[in-house]
Formats: sequence, structure tokens, C-alpha cells
Amino acid sequence: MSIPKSYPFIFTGSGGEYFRIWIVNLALTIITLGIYSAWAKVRTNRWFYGHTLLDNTPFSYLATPMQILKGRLVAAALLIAYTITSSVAPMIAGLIMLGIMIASPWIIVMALRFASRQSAYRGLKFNFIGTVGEAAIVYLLLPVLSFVSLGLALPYTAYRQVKFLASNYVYGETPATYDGSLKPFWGVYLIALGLLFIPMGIFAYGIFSAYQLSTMGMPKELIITAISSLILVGLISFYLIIPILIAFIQARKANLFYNHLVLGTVRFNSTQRARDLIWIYISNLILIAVTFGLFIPFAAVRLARYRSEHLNLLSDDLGAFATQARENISALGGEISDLFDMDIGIA
Amino acid sequence: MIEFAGEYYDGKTSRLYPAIITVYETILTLKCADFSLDIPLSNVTIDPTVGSARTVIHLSDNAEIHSSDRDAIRRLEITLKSATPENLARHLENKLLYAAAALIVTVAIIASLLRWGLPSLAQYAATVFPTDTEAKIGAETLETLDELYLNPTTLTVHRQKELLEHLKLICTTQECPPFELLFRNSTTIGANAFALPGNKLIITDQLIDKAKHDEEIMAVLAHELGHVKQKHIVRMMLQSIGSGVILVMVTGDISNYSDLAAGIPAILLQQGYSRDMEDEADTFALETLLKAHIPPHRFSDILMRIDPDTNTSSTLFSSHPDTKERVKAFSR
Repeated sequence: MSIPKSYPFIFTGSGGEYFRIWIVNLALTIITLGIYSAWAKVRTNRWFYGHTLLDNTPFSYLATPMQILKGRLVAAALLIAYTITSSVAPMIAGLIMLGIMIASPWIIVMALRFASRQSAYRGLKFNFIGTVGEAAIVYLLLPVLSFVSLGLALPYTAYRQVKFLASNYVYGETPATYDGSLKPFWGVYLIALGLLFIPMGIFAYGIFSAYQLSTMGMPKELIITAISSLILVGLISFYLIIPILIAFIQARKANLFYNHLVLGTVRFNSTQRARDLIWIYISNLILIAVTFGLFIPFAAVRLARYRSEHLNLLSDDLGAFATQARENISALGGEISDLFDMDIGIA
Repeated sequence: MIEFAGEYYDGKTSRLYPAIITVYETILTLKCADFSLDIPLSNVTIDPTVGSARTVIHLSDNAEIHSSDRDAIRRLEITLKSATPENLARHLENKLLYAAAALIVTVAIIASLLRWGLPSLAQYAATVFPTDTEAKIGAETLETLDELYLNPTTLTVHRQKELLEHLKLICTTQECPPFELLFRNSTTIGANAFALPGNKLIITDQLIDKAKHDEEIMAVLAHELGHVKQKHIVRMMLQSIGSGVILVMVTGDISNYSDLAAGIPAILLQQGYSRDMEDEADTFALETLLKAHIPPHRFSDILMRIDPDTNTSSTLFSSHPDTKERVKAFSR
């Protein structure tokens, strides 16, 4: 075997170009009362895929707007039923929500399958072969366990989710495997916990100093003002810490996902840095807020570019993959999870 | 005839075959180093291009042709007429001004639809809304409220009857809607009065305690009767369903960030709706008081007592117009 060659992922799209596509998508979606959103989604994905090059070959997005529209209509019908029943018959609305929750592992698997079956590279499709049973364990049971254990099972849950994704992707007919271990996930979540202590520390300090002031005989009004301003500072730092935490965990999880993903003889090298992603997230948030959302397309491009710039593929022969028989999969899973905003958390 | 260089992938392996592609009227030929293929154009599709992103030519059996020759791809696209539904989008994308104008116009249309179209529609729908369904919703809501926030009244039966008779007397001079007056005690929601679907008027003991004159209580009840008469509760319900559905349809594809922002106009609109309704109910109350020869300041008196300086109270009057303005209207 020869020494593997390193292929960088290159993103060639510009924010200015995506801005036009995005604003037209938005306008046509509004005019058509949402019907066009299916075309918008396909155009957006085609743009991002077509601008992502590996070895000078773009990825291709295969889904057709009609596929997306069908799934979207079913999902919209569900949502309308939920909205109406939640004000007329809350019991039925609750049942709909419960039904969706119970079906969520199936929805997740269908969404992952649809998204990967509609993605191709060099004429070969991707696939996702994870089972609904395993999805139920990693996306329902383990999160409940994490909650019950006050977060103690969080690293294990994250590890199992990353492993579930990484070991169930298929390219052509080559299944991916995951050779990472649980240990680094503990590191990620311990640091995350440490970050969470910052706002908690500010709260604790505030309460402590207020107590000190009261023993020193300060007037009550002054102490109340001091406490409320400290609570405000604590709250602000708490809200600031959330994007930082998300960016940190995402960067680390993306690296853990790609660096232990094995696809035949192909390996990946992901070098995302938490501090870069934190900067991107926070500056994106601020810019989106001050531009009333007009920065959204530029923010998306920035993120896509950063992610491809920090991903390399190592292989000695990209041409050695082969394929499997074709199958039709509906867009329904993908659309339900889209409309109800379930974050599947693919790194 | 279009001729260009590209890469051919057979759809069975990820192997790259450099190829020269020639497109004739009904056929596409592919010349690779070791083989050549003739493919009828009916088996060739092309993803409409988006911006400057590379596009893919699809052949049957997942085979693909890639090329960085944008000009040739564009000509092939025209030959295949595959972009037809997306041509408008592409046209708009090329002219930023059109895109921006389209967006502004559509936002204006949707906003006016939500602001004026939906309320008129809801107003009409409320008049044909089945009465028994409304009664059922009202009964269920009351049941929930009774369980969570409301306790049986501490008023004597005599006092309840006295107030009911007083309201009925007022309704001899004004065209009141049918109503059912219910008394409840609640420390949680405090001095409060509200209407529920199915013509139910609820008034708390706390509000009755706050009143210095029975006419003040009548003024508050007249305001709530205004809501019942105009079917505000059903209208509000229909409107929030309608705006929710419209907003979800529209924002279905906007990413997470803007979903948050999209909620804000919805909330503002809801408040706009309820402000209009409060004004209507106030007008009805003023008319009722004048007809019954009750001085209108009775209403402003109790308003001021419940909500002395602001409109920030989180209970009954939260969505109401500025108290000062209302007081002014009733102080004449």
C-alpha cells in the first residue's frame, strides 16, 4: 500500500452569492405561503454541496423539490393539527406530541437515511443503516438517563450518539466504522462543566458580598440594588456562556467524530478549534442581531468555510469504492424533524 | 452541438474517467480513454445551477458527469430545458434589487394579511362558529381554571344575587349579549374579571373587595360584556391559530436563528389584536354606563385603584391599552 495522500475539503462559495439565493428563497417562500420552501431547501443544499469540493470534485445533492414538498406537507398537517388541538382540545394535542416523541427514534433514523441517500460523491451515494432500536437507546433512553443522573451520564450519551452516527454511515457499499473511545468525551464535558461554573461563581460571589454588606449595616435599598445588578450580570454571563458551551462541545465532538471515523482505507483529519468556533458563533450572533437577520447567509457561509478548511481526508485511492442497489426513501422523516426543530446533532 | 471536457463516474464505483462529452440533438456521446458511450438525451438530466456552485449531470443508473466548463453546462441546461421551474428564482438572484424588492413587498403583504386580513376573517368565522363547541371549550377552560387557580366564592348568595340583579337591570337599557355571571375567589390571580368562551363572565372576590361602589363593579362587567358581545374570545382563538399556521408555513425553511426573531412580530401582532379588542370593549362599556346613567368615571376609578400608574400589571390588564389613556376616555 502506498502512503495515503491528504485531500483538503475546499468550500468555494461566497457570502454575497448566498445572500442573493437566500433572500430570493425567503421572498418566494413567503409569496407562496411556504410551498416554495421545498425548492428553497433543494436550491440551498445544491449550492452548499456544489461548492464543497474534495479532490476538485463537488458533492451532489440528489433530492427533488417534490420529494421534500410531500414530506413537508405531511409534517405541516401534523403541526396544524397540533396547533389547533392545543387550544381546542389540549388532551389530543398532548397525545400528538407524545406520539411524535415515541416515534422520534424512527423519525431520526429516517431523516439521517434520507439526507445521506440524497448525497453523492463521485457517482456513489451515501447511506445510513442505523436501526430504530439503537436510535431509541441513544436519543431517548440515554438522554433520560443523563437527566436522572444529573449529567453524569452525559459523556457516555455523547459518545454513544457520535458512535451511532459514525459507525452507521455507508459510502457506496463501504460501511464506516468508529474506533474512538469514551475517555476523551469525559474531558470535553468536564471542561464544559468548568465553563458553567463561571456564571455560577458570579452568582455565589454576589450573594456572599450582599451578605457581607448587610452585616456591615448598609441600607436595605442599596443592598437590594447591589443584589439585583449582580443577578443581572450573572444572567448575562449565563447567556453568554451558552453559545460558548455549544461551540466548544461542537468543535470537540466534530474532531472526535471525524478523527476516529474509518471508511475502508480512508481516514479523516479534523482540526476544529473551540476558540475559533466560539468566536465565529458569538460574532455571528451579534452581527445577525444588528443586521436584523440579513447577516444569516454570511454567517452560514462562514461556518461552512471554517468546517471545510479544518477537514482533510487521507486516502491512497479515492477511486476504489463501489456501490449498492438503489432504494427509494421518503422525505417524511427529514421533514418532520425539520419542522419540529429536532436537533439530530450531526457533528 | 455542445462539446466539453469533464469527468465521468459510472455510478458503480467511485472511479474517475476523464471524458470528452459531445451533445447532439437527441444524443450525448461520451469518449473516455478505453470506451465510448452513446446516451439518449431523454436519459440525461441536469440539476439547475445555483449561483456559481458546480452542478452535476445525471445519467441513468446513478452515473454522473461533472465539468467545470460553466458555459457548456449552461448551454446544455437550456437544451434540456431542465431549469424551467427554477428560472424565475435564478432571474431574481441575478438582480439583487429585484430580490430585495420582492422581499419587501412580500413581507408587507404577509404583515397586512396578518394585521387586517386575518382579524376580518376571524370576525366572520366567529359569527358562524358553532355555539355548542364554544360552550364546550368554555366549560373545559373553566374546569382547568377551577382546578389550578380559582376557589369557590366567599360571597353570600344574597350578595351574588344582588350583583346579578344589578347587571340585569343595566341590561334593560342596553342590548347585552346572553351571559352567565360566575363568582370565584382567587388569591393567585387577585382582583380580576374576565370572559370565557360560551358567554361566561368570571369576577373574583378580590375585585369586588377593591370596589368602593357597586357601579364600579358594573363598569368592569360592562367591559367584559363588550368582549362577549363582540365574540372576542373566539376571534382571538381563531386568530392565534391562523397566525401560527401562516407563520410556520412561511418560516418553515428559515434557520434556527431567525425562528426566534420570527416569533416577535407574531407576539406584537397578538398584542395589536387585543388592543383593538380592548378598545371595542371599552367603547361598549362607556355606552352601557351612559345608557344606565352611571357616571363613566366609575370605570376609571376602579382601573386606577387596581393599576394606579402603569399598564405593566401582569394580570387582567396586561394587554390593555395604557391605563392613563383609558382613564382619560372615561373621565369626561
